[in-house]
Amino acid sequence: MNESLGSFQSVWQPATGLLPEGQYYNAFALPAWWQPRAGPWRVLVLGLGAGTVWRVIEGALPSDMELETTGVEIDPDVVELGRRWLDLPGPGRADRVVVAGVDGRAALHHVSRRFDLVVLDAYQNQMEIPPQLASVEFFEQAAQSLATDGTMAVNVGAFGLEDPVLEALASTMARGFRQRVLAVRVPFSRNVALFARLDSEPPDPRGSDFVPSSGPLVRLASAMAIDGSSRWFDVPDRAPLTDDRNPIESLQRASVERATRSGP
Amino acid sequence: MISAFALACAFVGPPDRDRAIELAREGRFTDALFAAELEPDPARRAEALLYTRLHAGDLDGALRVARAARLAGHSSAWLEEREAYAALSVRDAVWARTALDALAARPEGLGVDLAAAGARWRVELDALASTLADRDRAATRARTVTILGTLALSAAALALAFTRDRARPSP
Repeated sequence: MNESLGSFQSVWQPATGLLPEGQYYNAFALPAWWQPRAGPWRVLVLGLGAGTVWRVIEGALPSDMELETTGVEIDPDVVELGRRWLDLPGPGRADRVVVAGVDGRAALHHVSRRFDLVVLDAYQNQMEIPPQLASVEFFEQAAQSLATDGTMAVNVGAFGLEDPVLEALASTMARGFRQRVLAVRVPFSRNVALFARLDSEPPDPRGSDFVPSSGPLVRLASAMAIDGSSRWFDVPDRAPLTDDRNPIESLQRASVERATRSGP
Repeated sequence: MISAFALACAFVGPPDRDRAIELAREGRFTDALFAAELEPDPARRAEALLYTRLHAGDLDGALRVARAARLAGHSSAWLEEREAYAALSVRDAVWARTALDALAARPEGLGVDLAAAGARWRVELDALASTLADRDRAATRARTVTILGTLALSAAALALAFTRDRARPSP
């Protein structure tokens, strides 16, 4: 589903699993390979759209893991379109729960189960991150919905690893989790994936645990592991973005202005 | 990450640009960068680094390699063609023009493939420049309309206030 200006809200292909190179959704399949174990892999997606993240993870999981997932989408029309055209499962499946018409922040209040992975992929007006999903209070709340050693992953549209929006969001996330946050550039795209864990840190791209030894994600992880493609964000003393003070809109403007200043 | 490949390199001697390219094609990007760094010739080293970063999807990194090579006088026609391609991929018309101009100015002349690629990127550059110019014109138009609209509304408000003052009976 194309929202115009080359901004795709959801992507579908006949088979589940990884999408072609350059699609940031593929990065959300990595945490399962960092923590492989038999059994259910419980995933919460905030900003489900038409279920692209579900289909990518479903087809890219290690063979002995099973996806159990809940998705929150604020726009019920998108869910309806997804069910009609993009193979989004309908109501009645306990392992594919869709919560439609609810904001991600509000939905977190009602989540009772703990998840191995929480994915935040919510935008408004194509490129604006909603402020209520970009504050330290939100990340503290999201951390509480994770199981032991669970991971949170965030999609950020950013012009490089020094982008002002990325820096503010990653530092805020680090403050909310009280853990360092890993930012990884998604190859062939203007997207960066942020990863944070509840009780530890995600694997270091320079370490031996980052690139899986086998499976569909070896090439992607190898590309993410090269020098200059990742950055760690330390826990700051104060979060740059809070519910009371959230300059995310001015940061987004600064991000675009900074990008237009670059040149040969 | 020090892989078995990197350790092997320390004993069997430095692999060259072709080895790095081969590794990049296999998706072993860290090893490819390591091999590239061992290439003694600066131009060939830059080519291997750029090839690896392009195939790893690090377009900004590839552009940085190309710029560094150009500034150090180690560039090549191949590098400049790839630089133009990367710049067009990130929609940077100014950068792409710089690379294509450098490619066109090569005194030694270009082979058939590079000349054809250069011509193709020049067409793409013209299309991109036109799109960006349209966008800039639209932005200017929107700003002008906003300013004129604000001025018109302000003038109307002032005129209304002035008319009301004059219409009010004096005490």
